[in-house]
Amino acid sequence: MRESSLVKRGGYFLAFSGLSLFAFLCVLVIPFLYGFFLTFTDWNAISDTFSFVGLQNYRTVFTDKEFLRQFLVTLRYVAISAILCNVVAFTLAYLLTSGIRGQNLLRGGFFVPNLIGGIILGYIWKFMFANVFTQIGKAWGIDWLKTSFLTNPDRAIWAMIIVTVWQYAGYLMMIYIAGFVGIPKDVQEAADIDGAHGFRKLFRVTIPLMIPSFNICMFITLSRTFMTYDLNLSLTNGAPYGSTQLAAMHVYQKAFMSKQFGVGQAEAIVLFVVVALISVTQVLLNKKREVEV
Amino acid sequence: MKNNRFFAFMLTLMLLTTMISVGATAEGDVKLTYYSTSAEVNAMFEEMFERYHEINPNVTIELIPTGVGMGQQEQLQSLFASGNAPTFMNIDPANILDYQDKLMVFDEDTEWFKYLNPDAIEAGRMDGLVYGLPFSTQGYALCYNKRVVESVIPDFDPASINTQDALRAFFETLDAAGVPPTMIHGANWSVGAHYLGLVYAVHGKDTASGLRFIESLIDGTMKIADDPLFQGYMDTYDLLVKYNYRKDDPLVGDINADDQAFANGECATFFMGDWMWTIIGTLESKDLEYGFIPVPWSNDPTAFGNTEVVVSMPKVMCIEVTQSTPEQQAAAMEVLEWMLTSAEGQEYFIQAGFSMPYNNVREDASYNSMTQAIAEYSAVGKTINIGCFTYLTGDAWAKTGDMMLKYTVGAIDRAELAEEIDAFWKTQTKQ
Amino acid sequence: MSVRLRKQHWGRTVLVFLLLILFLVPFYLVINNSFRSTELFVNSPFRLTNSLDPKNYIDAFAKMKFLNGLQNSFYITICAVALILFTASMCAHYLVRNRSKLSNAIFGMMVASMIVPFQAVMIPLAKIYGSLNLYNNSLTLIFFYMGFGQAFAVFIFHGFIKGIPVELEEAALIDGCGRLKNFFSIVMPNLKPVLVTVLILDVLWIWNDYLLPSMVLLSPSLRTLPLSTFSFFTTYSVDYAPLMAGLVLTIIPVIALYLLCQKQIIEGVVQGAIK
Repeated sequence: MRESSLVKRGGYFLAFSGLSLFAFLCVLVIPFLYGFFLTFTDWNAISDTFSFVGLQNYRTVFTDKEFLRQFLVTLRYVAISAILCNVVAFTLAYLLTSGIRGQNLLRGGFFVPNLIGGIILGYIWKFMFANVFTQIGKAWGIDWLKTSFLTNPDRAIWAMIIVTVWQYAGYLMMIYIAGFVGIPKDVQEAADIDGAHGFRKLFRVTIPLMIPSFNICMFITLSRTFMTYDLNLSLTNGAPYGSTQLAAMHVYQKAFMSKQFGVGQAEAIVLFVVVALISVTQVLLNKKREVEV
Repeated sequence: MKNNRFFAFMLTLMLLTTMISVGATAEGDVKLTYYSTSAEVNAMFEEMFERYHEINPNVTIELIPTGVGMGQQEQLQSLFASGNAPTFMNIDPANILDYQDKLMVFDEDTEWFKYLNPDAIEAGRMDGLVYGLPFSTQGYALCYNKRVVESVIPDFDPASINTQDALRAFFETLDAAGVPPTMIHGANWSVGAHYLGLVYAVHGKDTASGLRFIESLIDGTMKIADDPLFQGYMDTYDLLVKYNYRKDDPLVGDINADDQAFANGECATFFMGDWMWTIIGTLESKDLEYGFIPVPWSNDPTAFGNTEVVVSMPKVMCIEVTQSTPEQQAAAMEVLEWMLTSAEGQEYFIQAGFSMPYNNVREDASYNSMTQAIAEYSAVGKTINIGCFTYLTGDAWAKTGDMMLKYTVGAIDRAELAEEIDAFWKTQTKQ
Repeated sequence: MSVRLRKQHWGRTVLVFLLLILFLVPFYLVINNSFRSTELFVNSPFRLTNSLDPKNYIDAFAKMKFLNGLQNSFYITICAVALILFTASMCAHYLVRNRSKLSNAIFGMMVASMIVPFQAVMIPLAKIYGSLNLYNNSLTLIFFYMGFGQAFAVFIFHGFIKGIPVELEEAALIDGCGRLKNFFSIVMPNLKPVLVTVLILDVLWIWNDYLLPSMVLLSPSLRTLPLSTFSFFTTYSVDYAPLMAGLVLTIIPVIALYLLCQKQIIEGVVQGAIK
């Protein structure tokens, strides 16, 4: 009796999650563990042989001033992008659920930036920053537009942020819209009856109910922006002089251009751990604030 | 219920598409794969391989699509790692070092190697053995637009610019006439590999002298600031920076825009190579006549480097031996012979604007004026061999190029630049 | 009151439309310049094209081997997305309805995996699957997408299924309805809005992905559209004019899908709200 129920439960488990877990294990977990194993070797990604070097690669990572500097640049980029993306997306979603005429068309319009892949998008924006904005700046005599955003270390990182917000705002907006529409009508009506309007209603009623959406969106922005690679490669490629090379790109360069695969892989692991800590903390903090509906 | 129908539809669609995609896997006699890192002429290679298949129906050659920019290295590595290494390929001479134990060592007595120019066989030599065969000669220096320069100096002779002072006077004359004298392409490969590369290369005609200098930087016995060549070339660089057409925003580094500006005569000279013709050639409005001026580093007209331009063979053809069968290797060798030495094969390269370092190229082959000008320097031996720099693997050009860019915008001064370059080399290991 | 509201709406409408125009400028550049030459594009990107010359489109169509790429992109995207939707929704359902240490561990691992940098698994993937001789095969790529897509899809489904009252399912189970049947006839219909959302996001991701196919698909005959688009990129420069046309060609199918599904999204979202 007990055994058959165990078999049954196992069958249930496999039928529902077997395929999913199989693919997940084969594509992500096993290669990741294998990659982790390779961080203890001096493999250069090409040769057939390698030997063990213990923790040497990790020691190199933590003494690599360039990596640490780039990590700080990445943190700044992630923090600003995450905040701006969510503010813009939330505002758009708020405006586009308030009964504006043509709101379906508008929703579609704001989502359009997501229809193009990151690399191509970067090349289009690179052209915009370097040619289009500078032409406007010269034509209208706007000094700060006369030179390209991408040739100054401070402004180039802002260029990255602008494009990131441009791309993700529409995406996150979709999730926020679903959240807004998902707020039960009776709650809203109750708030209206109680005389809560405008900003009061927004902050007292709506936002607390939107915490699950915030949670998902924050997680998405944090993990995506930490991983930014395509856009980094095509928009700035680290320019000017390596100042905008974000962590993910540095990992890539170390592994493939400098041919220090073990070090690059070790950096990837460090990056992973940091991102994991930040995201998990964020999720846990917000989970507590979630309102049961 | 509706959902079930939806998924039934999805499944049918999946099955159908699977059926379409399976199907044609014809049995060819020999199937070869070719990896090209010269992404700009992928179409040329495809045409060549189609033609080869027409004359040799038993050989099919597939061109593996090249990644963009940086992606090339990583893609080639994952090809090797995944057991899908290309049968043959063209790569930078520097990459021979990475794949040395996987590449065919060419027998120098091979019958058709007699067509290679003597210096061409050296392009793919590593540790005394030949691993690669070049297919093009390219060169760079200070390219000038003849129409623009001659509008100011009617009988301009590029040989008259053989000292730093002559260059300065030349720029001043142009500037006084209201013609922007020169342009620097603000990308790390141009100022790092090409410009700074001069400092190493001009240490001697042979690759070894440049390499010796680099090694002395690596082991710290030499500081680059103490090198007269470095100081000389940086003095000239200051001149270029002063008269740079892109002075307002030097680091844009948009090759389309720069090539276009140069071709339209917006500035008189441009530190670049004859490969820019692949872009300029396609423009609708352009000047056709160009020449090259050496980049002088001192005031001694007899000093090496002041009257020479850089000529290099940037890509070499190699055959893979660890993952390919002997039949494939033999077939690849035959394909290379056809591509590089037959009149038909060479015609493709000539049409694409490549000047081939082979002595049986048809003599009436005509090139654009840039390639022609480089060939003229080559013919009289007035060349600088950049070999020492291409023999260095990795990211040296990108890292030192970024330092040069910082210097270009004045973020660091020359002493700091020298320190950073020294520090970079000290992190490298000797080859 | 109502007048004030309407005024407010006017302000909002204008603001939103202005924002939208700003958002769409790059697309104006792409479409406009797909009818002009690279030279004109570099010199005067904003000037409206004075002809609808299809030359760039013809060039792009031929150079990209468009039909071949389109077929491959369709095949890979449809198969991969269908597999992800199926497997991830079932897995998420299991994880929500069977809370145990194992379930929590699996869910935690999946969430954590969403922040694994792709670079960390790239070479190991090549080494493992290459040595099994599975590279250069569309099916391998589909499997990769299925693996990489699980975490995000499970994460989204998980959140959504939590919100579906369990009583509905319990009633069906008591009535003797099997678990699979229960899932497909009771749970699935409720998932419709989120299924469409995940479908769109995954289609966009896979349709536009460059790095993964560039690693796995080696033969030109297997190339997807994004890989073909890069035939306009040379080592240091870009042939903008046909690239713009190629881009438009590549986006059309996705826009079509989005317009098609947008109705469904809104429908689903509204349905969810009425409930």
